[in-house]
Amino acid sequence: MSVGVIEVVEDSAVRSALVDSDAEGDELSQDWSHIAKLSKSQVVVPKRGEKDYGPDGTDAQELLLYKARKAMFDSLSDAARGTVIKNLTHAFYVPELHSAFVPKPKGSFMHTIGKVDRKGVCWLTFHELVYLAERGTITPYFKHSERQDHDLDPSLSIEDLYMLFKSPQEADEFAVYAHLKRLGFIVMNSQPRQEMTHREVPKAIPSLFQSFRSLARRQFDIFRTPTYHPLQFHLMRYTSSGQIYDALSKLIPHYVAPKTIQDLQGEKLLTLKEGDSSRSFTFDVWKPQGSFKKKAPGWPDFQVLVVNKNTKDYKFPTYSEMKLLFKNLNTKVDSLVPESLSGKTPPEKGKAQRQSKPVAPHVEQQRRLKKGYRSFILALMDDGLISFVRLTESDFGSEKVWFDPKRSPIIKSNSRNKRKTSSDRSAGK
Amino acid sequence: MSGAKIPINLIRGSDNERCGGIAMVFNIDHIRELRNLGFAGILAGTLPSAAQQNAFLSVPLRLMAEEALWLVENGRAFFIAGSEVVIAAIQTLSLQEMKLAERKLDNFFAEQRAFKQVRHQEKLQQLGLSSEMSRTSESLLESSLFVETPNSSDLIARRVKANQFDCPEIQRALCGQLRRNCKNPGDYYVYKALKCDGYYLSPGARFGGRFIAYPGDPLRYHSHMTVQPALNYQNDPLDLLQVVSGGRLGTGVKKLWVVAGVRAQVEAATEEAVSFFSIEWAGFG
Repeated sequence: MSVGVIEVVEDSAVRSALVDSDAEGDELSQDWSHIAKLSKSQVVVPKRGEKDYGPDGTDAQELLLYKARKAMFDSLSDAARGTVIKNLTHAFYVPELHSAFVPKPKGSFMHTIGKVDRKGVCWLTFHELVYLAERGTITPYFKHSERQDHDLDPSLSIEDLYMLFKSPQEADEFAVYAHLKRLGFIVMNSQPRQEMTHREVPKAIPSLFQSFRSLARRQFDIFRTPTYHPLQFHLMRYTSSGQIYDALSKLIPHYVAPKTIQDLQGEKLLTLKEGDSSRSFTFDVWKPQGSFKKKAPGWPDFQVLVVNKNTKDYKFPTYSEMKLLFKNLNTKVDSLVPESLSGKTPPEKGKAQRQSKPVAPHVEQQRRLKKGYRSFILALMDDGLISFVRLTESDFGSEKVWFDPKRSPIIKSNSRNKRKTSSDRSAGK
Repeated sequence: MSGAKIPINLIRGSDNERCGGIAMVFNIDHIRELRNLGFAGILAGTLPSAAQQNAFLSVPLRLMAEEALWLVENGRAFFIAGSEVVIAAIQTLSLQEMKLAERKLDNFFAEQRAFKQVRHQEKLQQLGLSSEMSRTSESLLESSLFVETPNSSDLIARRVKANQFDCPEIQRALCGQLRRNCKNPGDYYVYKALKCDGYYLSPGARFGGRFIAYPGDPLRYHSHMTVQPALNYQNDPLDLLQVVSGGRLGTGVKKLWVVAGVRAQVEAATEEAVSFFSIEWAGFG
C-alpha cells in the first residue's frame, strides 16, 4: 500500500514539473527532502543549551522549547541509517543459532568483531549484529532455513532486530555493549576460562625461587599469627612504638587481598572446588588498542556484570557473591599490583615501566588504599540509563597507616623481635 | 494521526510470560507524539551520523514500565510482544510481498538516481561543462546509491494489522505481566500521581532515586525532585539515617528529596492514595 503512495507522489511530481516550470524548484526540493538527507555527511548532534528553572508560561520559553525539540527531532530524522551500495555488507540472521553470518565480510569492524570460520564466513553474535546494523555498517537479513540462495531473504529493520532478542536481560546487555562500543572499547562476551592458563604459568616457573621465598615468609607468618591470649602482652617486651602498632594490628583479623600473581594462583587453587557462582560476568572489555588480536586477545582490562535495577528479581550482589566474583575475575594482573608490592614488575608492562618520578611512600600508600586491588565493573541498567559502578577489593589491614614502615625497617625489627620472644619463652620455661 | 494508538514493543523474546519486557518505540513520529503527551523516555540506539558518542542517541526510545502502563491503560497506546511476531510475519511472507518490497527498493533507487543526476547536471552547468553523463560517472552514481535500514518494521506493522493485537484481553494480560515484573509495584501509583500533576518523569538512579521529576520538557527545564521508591504508607519504616543522607544527597544535586507513601495498593487506587513528603537539608552555611 505504501508502495502505491510513493508512486503516486512521484507521478505528481513529474507531472507538476512538466506543467508548471516556475514551481519546479520548490516542488522538487520539497519532494526530495527525504532523499537529500542521505547525501548529508556532517555530524549533527544538537548542542546542549541553557535550561530554565521551570515553565513560566511565556511565549519566549515556548519558542525556545519548540526550537530545542525541532533541533532534536531534525537530527533524529536526518540521520539515515544504512550505507551506499559500494560498501554494502549483508548479514544473515540464522534464527536457530541466534547469530548471524556475513558471507563476504569487509570493513574495519572485522578487527575486533566477529569470528571467521574456515570457509571465510564471518559469524557475528546477536549483539554484534544489532550494533553493526544500528550504525548502518551492515544490512541485516533474515535467513530462511530451507532456501540456499539469499535472494528471497527479507531484510530486517531495527525494530525486527530488537524484537528478536531472547530476553529482556539480553536487550539490557546489548545496551551496555553498545554503550561501551560507541566509546571505542573492545567488548566480547565473557567466557568461562580455564584457571590461569598457559599465559600465566611460564611466568611463574622462573620465579620458583621466589615462591620458595614466599613459602619461607609464610613460615614466619605462622609465628606472626596473632595469639589472642592476654598473656602474650606479658611475655612480649616492646621497645618502640612501631612494635606496639604492629602487635595491635595483629589483634585485628583482616582480609588480605591477593596482590601478586602467586597469591592469585594460590587462591584459584583453593577455590577450585567451590564451584561457579550463580552470577558470572557478562562482558570482557579491553581498552581501545591497535594491536588487538581477536584470536589471542589476552587478559581483558575490565570485566563487566550487567544488572537491571528495576526487575523483580534484582538484588545487589551480596558479600559472598562479590567474593566469588572476585575469585572468578580474569582481568589483567599487572594493573592491580603496585610495583613496590609485587617486587618484580611483570615483563609485559614494557613502556609503562618508564615511570616518571618516585612518589613519597605515604602518597603511594594513599593511592593504594584508594585504588585497591582487584576490581570489576557493575553496569546498573535503570530503564535506559546505565550507571557504571566499580567494585574494588581494598586492603586496609595490611597497610600501616600510623606507623611508617619505610622510616624504620619493621620487617627486620620484627624478626629480631620474634627471636627475642622465643628466647624469652625458653628462658621462662 | 494523533487519534490512533501508538504501538509499544515489549522486548522479551518468545512468549516469555515470566518477564515483563522492555517497552520500546521505534517510529520517530510516534516518539514525537509521545513527547507532546509528556513522555520523554530515553533514546537508546546508535545515531548513525555520529556513531562514536553516547551524548545524543537515536531510535529506539525506551520507556519505563510505568510510562508504558500508563499509556496503555489510558488508551493512548497498545503493546506488541514477543519475537514470534517477527518470525511469523517472515514465515507468512508471500512471494508477492517480497516482490513488492523489491519494487519499493527499486523505486527508492530510481528517486535517488534522478535526484543525483539533477544535482550532477546543476554542478556541471555551474562549472560550464557539457552536461553529458559519462560511463564512469554513471557507475559511480550506481555505487553511491543508499540502502537504508529502516527503524520501524513493515513486517510487524502488517502483522499487527492482521492480528488485532489491540484487544482488551491481550493488553490486560500484557499489562499484568509487566506490572508483576516490576521491582516495586507501588511505584506505578507514584508515577500516576506525579504524571497527573503534569510532571515529566525519567529514571532516577543517577540521582539516587526511582524517578526524577521535571516541571516541563527535560530538554528545556531542570528537574526539581528525586523521588524515592514508593513506600507502603501504613507499614514501611523510614529510617532517620536514610532521611538525613537522602536530604543531603538531594541538596547536593540541587533537588528536593521526595518520599512517597502509597496508602492502598489496590487496583482502584487513585492519585489521592499517594502522599508525598519532601525533605530538604537545611544545614547551609
